[in-house]
Amino acid sequence: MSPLLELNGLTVELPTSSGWVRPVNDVSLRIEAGECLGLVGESGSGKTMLALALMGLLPEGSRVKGEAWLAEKDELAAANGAQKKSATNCRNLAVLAERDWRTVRGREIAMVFQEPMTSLNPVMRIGAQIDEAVRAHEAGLSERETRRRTLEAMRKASMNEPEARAEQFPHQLSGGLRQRALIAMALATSPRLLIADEPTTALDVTVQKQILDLLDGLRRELKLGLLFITHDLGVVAQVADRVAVMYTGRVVEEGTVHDVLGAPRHPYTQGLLAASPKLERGALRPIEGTVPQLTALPPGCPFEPRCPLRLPECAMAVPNLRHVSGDHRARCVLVPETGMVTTVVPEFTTPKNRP
Amino acid sequence: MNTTSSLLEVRNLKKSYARAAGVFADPDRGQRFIAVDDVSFEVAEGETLAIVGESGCGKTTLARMVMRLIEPDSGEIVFAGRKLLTLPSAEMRQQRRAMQMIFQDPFASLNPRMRVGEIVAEPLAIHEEKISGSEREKSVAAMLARVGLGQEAARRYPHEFSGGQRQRIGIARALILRPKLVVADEPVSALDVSVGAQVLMLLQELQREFGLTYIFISHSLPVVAQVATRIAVMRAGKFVELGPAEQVLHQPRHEYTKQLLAAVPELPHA
Repeated sequence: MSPLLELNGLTVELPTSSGWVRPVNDVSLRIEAGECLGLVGESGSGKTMLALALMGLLPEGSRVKGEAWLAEKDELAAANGAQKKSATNCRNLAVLAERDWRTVRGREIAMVFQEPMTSLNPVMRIGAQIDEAVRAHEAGLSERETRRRTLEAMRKASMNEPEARAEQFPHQLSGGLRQRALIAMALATSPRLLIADEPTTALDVTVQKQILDLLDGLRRELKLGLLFITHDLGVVAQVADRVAVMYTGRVVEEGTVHDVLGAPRHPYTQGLLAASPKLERGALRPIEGTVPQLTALPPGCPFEPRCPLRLPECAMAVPNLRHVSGDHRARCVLVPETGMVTTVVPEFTTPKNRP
Repeated sequence: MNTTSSLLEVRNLKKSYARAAGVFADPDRGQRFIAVDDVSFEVAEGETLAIVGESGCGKTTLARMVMRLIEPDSGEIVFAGRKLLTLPSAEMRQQRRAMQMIFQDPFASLNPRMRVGEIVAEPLAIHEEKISGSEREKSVAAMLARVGLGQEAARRYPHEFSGGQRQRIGIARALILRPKLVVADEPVSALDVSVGAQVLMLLQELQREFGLTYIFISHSLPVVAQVATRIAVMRAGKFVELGPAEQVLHQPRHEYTKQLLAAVPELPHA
């Protein structure tokens, strides 16, 4: 079974006054239907730029290299039981033309943002805004059918009294309900991949828990692939099956939540865990220094200047992703090289029938 | 009672705001919104009192009233033995130098047109007009060095610094007058995890070094757990629980504290 989304060496380049920078650098990841991949990183790690690349929303002038394969719907049907695979069953988002993005953005892949208030139109009723999403997905629906689907999406997002909520304006809703409205809007088009970019960062902790539970239920129930972007390791531990840790555009560690957060092998992941406040006092150890600018990256491992375990060789070259065990990989020279692992992992099954 | 003397005593502090009238009025609600509802507490010298609560609970209003940036409707604030609310403005000015604030957003709280050296020196220029320019420069340089910023920082502008460095600038400005009480309102909420940890450690070092007393406002129990001597849990304008940090975190009494603790995403122990 090929994954819902598979990235192979995805790279995004942006022009700056001091030359091209790579906010996303040689990223290889995969997400299965119904799976949640947590993407963790601090500001400047490239996690949001990666999401924008998958939505075809990169800033003007940017260049995309590498591959981002999105399985077609038939493929999903095949994965769900049917034996036969259809002929052309993957699309490379990295080379998609703008007119083709319209069939992907918001339909196949939907996105929920951090700040629900700035993503909603303040002078339009909630129902009307979700109606728009429904119509964008399927033109020519009657008004009644549109609203029926809107209410259905609101119910999926666990909005109580959807009929009444639909008549309200964004400012009349609490932060949690606004985020639910955005989730309803994203679900209205029945996407297969949902990208959630810090969806709970602006919310109170008790509301955050409700939204995390909602997203978790939805991806299991609807077989959604969920790419969950956050800076909060605790949140990732709660929602994700697997996690990828990004630093200056690169994935530095990847694997199951259990492996990566329970037995981290990259010093940056270890540092992030040690620097995250817990309910126990006294365990806090900050990471020295700051994240380097993309325009002034060190020549070797980007974490080398801050790394407490650095070796002379770390300043020479960027290490490749090395196999730790099972699905667990880390981009660090302290992980012994097995010789067979390159930046593309053997267990990646290359989707067949690529055009 | 406490054996240590209280630096700050807050008694029955109240603040309410008029709700919208006219077409925007909400007929289901009362005419006034009570932001802080009869709150009393003491802060002992050298301790860190953390005030924790979700958005809208009144924690920032409370902090700003203590700083007299917002005038309370009623109540009393006694700082170092003096009743702040009835103090004549000249004397209040004197007291202000002993109470400083650190803000959440290091991007919004620094004047973008001023050099960092001027930003940090400004409180000195206001409160200690007598000291010479060269002396002022010297103490600014020393304070910048103490918060972990280099010599050249004084000549640069805020936009040239990262979020964590800007928060250090804000701390340097708050401490340049050697205050007794520092009110820190969500000082690490806008920062990345690794940088936020640096700032928390710095605040703790400075507390020991300068004998500071902190009121630490935060929405995050894990953050507060790192710094607090005592924790007050605030909801709808009231303290629902106030006690030693260990007790509030590990033997919470109030249902709401338990809810807050249960909602904290659990991190595996590495």
